[in-house]
Amino acid sequence: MIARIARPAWSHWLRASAIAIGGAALALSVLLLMVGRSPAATLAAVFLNGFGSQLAWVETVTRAVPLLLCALATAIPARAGLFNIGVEGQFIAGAIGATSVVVLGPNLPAGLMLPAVTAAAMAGGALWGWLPGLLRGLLGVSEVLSGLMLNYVAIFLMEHLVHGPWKDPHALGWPYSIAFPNAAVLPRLGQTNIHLGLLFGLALTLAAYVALRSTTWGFSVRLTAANPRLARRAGVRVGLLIALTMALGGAAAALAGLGEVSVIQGRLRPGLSSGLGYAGFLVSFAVANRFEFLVPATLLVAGLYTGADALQLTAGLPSATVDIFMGVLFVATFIAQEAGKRRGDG
Amino acid sequence: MLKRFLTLFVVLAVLGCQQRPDSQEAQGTAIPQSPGGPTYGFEKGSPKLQVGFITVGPTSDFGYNYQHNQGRLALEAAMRDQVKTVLVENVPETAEVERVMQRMAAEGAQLIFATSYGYLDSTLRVAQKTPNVTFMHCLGDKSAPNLGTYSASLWEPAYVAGVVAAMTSPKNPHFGFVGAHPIPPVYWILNAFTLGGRSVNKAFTVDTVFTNSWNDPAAETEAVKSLADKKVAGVYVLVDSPIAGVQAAERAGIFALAQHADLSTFAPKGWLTGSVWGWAKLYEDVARSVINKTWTNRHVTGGFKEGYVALAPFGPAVNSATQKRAHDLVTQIASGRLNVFAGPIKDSKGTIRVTAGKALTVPEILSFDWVVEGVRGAQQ
Amino acid sequence: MESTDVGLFLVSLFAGAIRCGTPIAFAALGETLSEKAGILNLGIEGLMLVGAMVAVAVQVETGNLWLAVIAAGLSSAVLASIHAYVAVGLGGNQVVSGIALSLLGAGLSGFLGRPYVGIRFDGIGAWTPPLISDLPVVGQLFASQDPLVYVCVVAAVGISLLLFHSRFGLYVRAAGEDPQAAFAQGVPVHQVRVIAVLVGGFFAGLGGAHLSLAYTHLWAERMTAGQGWIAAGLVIVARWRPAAVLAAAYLFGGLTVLHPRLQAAGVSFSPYLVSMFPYLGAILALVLATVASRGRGPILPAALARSFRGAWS
Repeated sequence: MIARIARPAWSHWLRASAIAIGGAALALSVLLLMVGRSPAATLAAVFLNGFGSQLAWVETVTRAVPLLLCALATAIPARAGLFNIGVEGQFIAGAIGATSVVVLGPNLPAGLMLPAVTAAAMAGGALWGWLPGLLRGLLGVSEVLSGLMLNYVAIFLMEHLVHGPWKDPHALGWPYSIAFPNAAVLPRLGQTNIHLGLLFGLALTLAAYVALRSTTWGFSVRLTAANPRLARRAGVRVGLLIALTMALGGAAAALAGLGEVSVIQGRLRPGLSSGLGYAGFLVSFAVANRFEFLVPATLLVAGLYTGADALQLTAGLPSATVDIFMGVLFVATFIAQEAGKRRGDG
Repeated sequence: MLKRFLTLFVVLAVLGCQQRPDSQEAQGTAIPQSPGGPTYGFEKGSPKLQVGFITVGPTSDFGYNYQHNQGRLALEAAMRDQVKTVLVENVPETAEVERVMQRMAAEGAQLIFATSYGYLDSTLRVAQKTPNVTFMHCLGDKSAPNLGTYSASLWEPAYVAGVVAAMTSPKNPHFGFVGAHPIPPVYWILNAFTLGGRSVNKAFTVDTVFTNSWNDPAAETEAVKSLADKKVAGVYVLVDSPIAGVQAAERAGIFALAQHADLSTFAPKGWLTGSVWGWAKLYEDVARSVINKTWTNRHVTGGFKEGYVALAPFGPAVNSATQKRAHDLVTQIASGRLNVFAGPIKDSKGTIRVTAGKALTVPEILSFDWVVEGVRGAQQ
Repeated sequence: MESTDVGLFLVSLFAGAIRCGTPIAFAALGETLSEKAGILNLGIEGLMLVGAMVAVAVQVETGNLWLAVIAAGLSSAVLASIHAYVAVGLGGNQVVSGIALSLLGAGLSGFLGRPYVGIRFDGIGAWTPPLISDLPVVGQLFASQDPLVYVCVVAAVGISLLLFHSRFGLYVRAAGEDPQAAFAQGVPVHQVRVIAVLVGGFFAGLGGAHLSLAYTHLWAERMTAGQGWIAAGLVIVARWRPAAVLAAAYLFGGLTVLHPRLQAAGVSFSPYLVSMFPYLGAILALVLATVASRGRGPILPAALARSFRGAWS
């Protein structure tokens, strides 16, 4: 109950988001005017590229699937009061886990392949989330800082594997693992890159929403976030709970990594993620980690991101414009949220 | 509150933005087209051939991506009435590639150049989905009915560069090589450069350092410094953007050679020469073949003969005898009288890999995983 | 190797370590100040990029190196003011704001810095102060370093004195340990935190300026290649002590420059595993610091990343 009372009404978040999008659009317009492009036409092109056609929607959903899983990876621990900044590393650890099955057990029967790959991915991501969770729960070590460092450990581990022991001897010497056999690739929707991860993401979101609202476990999570000392006195094993939510988050991020490595890339290789973990983190906090808003928020951000192709394609602007757009959007969101919250409080 | 933040943003923008008038045009992100003002993006329905380019890094790197963009600009300049080009840069080798390619196809692109090897699988998939668009994948080895591959024999100028290096520094035949990753396109160049140097001076050696990144100016600077400490006469720099390495060499007072584009302005004293991709010619040839409907999915490649590679301009340290020798070699290679990878070639462990009278085939070159005699320090 | 060769190798290695560690040291020193005041700023990467870009832009336009360095610091401080606004002014989430800031900084520097890519300019060259070069070992290490290297050493000493031997430093530490109690004692917690974030941003900008003007002599998009995140890690390794931050940054610089030197010497190793060490080291240091701060006095700022919502005094 405590956690609920502390949260402003949903209309507040809606208003904050609207203000933020407006602010970002305004800032981008200033930028566009500076370089002599029409703001109205360019912004319209961004919107159409994100939401204006069937192709746009397919691409937006494709982008939204890993984003949703990464946002979940942030939101689940966040509801227990934790900052899971290690999503990027958990994403990669998931990809490494999945690839380990393909590399080490290529002769598994086809029927077992997909379950094994999925389980290994989730185990990898869960391990990467559990470590900072354990350190936090056991010793009180900041999960922000340890998670951040573990991101780099995961990246270099992956680089080492694909440049060394896991390098495909037939890839012309490029740092790629062997390709995933068809049996190890998540099923996809027709010809698109939308894969089973979408169902995983939706199911997990729903489960997390329900679990948090109506189970004892969900109550202990909320209690821990609101007041760990009180939770401990009420009999919640706070350390265990923290490690568990972090591991759950890691497993969700790992599913995004699994989709990326099996469906999109088809093999493990450097440059797998391009910052999806951080993007998911920002999206989740942009809606205050509320599960009911995760799906629309990821769709919106994914749409704006894919729509931002238009900045290069039809406005002839350099790619850094996209980063500015997204950066302003998130900063404006947080400002609008916090400012609104303050007004509400006072 | 928002207003305050926006003011801040604008102040910052203006602060950093001493916009030079040539900013956009110089980097080639936008070319004024019609007299009514600049237009950007594809012109769907126009009789011109609509050509899309995708690069993995920024075209401002004065290196790999820059040179692809130079090729695009030259194509548009040469065939202004027949082609319209659009470039999207910084596209990571993830689901993004497929999206950008499909979008290009949807907006009217008829020919798309995927300029990074890492786009391989994505390009294959999009080519299947959009059979009416012609795709060209750089450095690749897989094709489809509407997907061709292209490359250029950049080892030819690298070999000549080695000759120039060895002739310019007869007393100290020890050079350095800064590469990104130990992968085949780096090994072609390293090996050809070393073979060229050793054809002049049997004592020619090349100390090799990898930065393990395509883009890390600090690491490249440090790599050159560490080689300069080892008293090398000069360095050959092969990363996406060789500016940092070339400038570091100039500051260390050693010779500089580099790859991708002409970087002579960054080392006015120590610049020797370099290997340059001649994409302008290749892009023009491919565009013409598509317009003339003679395009097939064969592997388009070539060297000096086709104009697909070139030697960068010489620096002041290269004397006229050396320049003449270099020009002779270019002619010999172009005419097929000289094969850069003709035997006998030993590897760095002393084993003969190519016997006399034979030469490496192109597939063998493209999958190099060993280095020739004279190379030191490369990871095996 | 001859003994003189070994000597030369070591001198070159240590000189390189200092040179290479300086940009990170600047950023990490700024972050130390900010974290000591209780504000975690994860936007360092973006702040360094903006500093590096503005330094080159001002140098190219005005030809005045010192103006360029100051402008770099100031522009990063301006960007950091966004973080100060969200984290202090609004009492908002510091982690989230920092991450968003690093995204924004990368974009802004890439966009506005485009005209300055591939432009040649006269960067900061070597400078040897008269007295130091006469010293036996230190003289060799610091000969042919650039002036910003000295500025960095002075800054480390200055921040150390400021933090531990001044009233303002006391305020900073109080704001970072227990803002409520500090506020009750009359410490202007908000103002102190804002100043710490802005000065921290300024130093991140100086780090960027060193990277572009003195170290590589160029501006390139995303040229920091992760150094800002490393700086965040090194602050932990150094346990929030400025002198140790400097040492940790030099150590990291040493590791970085050892890399090409070992390769050039023909030693074979996995560079990717070696690159992992600083991060594993940071985690270990973090655990040790946290455990140690339980028993004895605090090492880790107790209120780090916790917002304080008291009134502005």
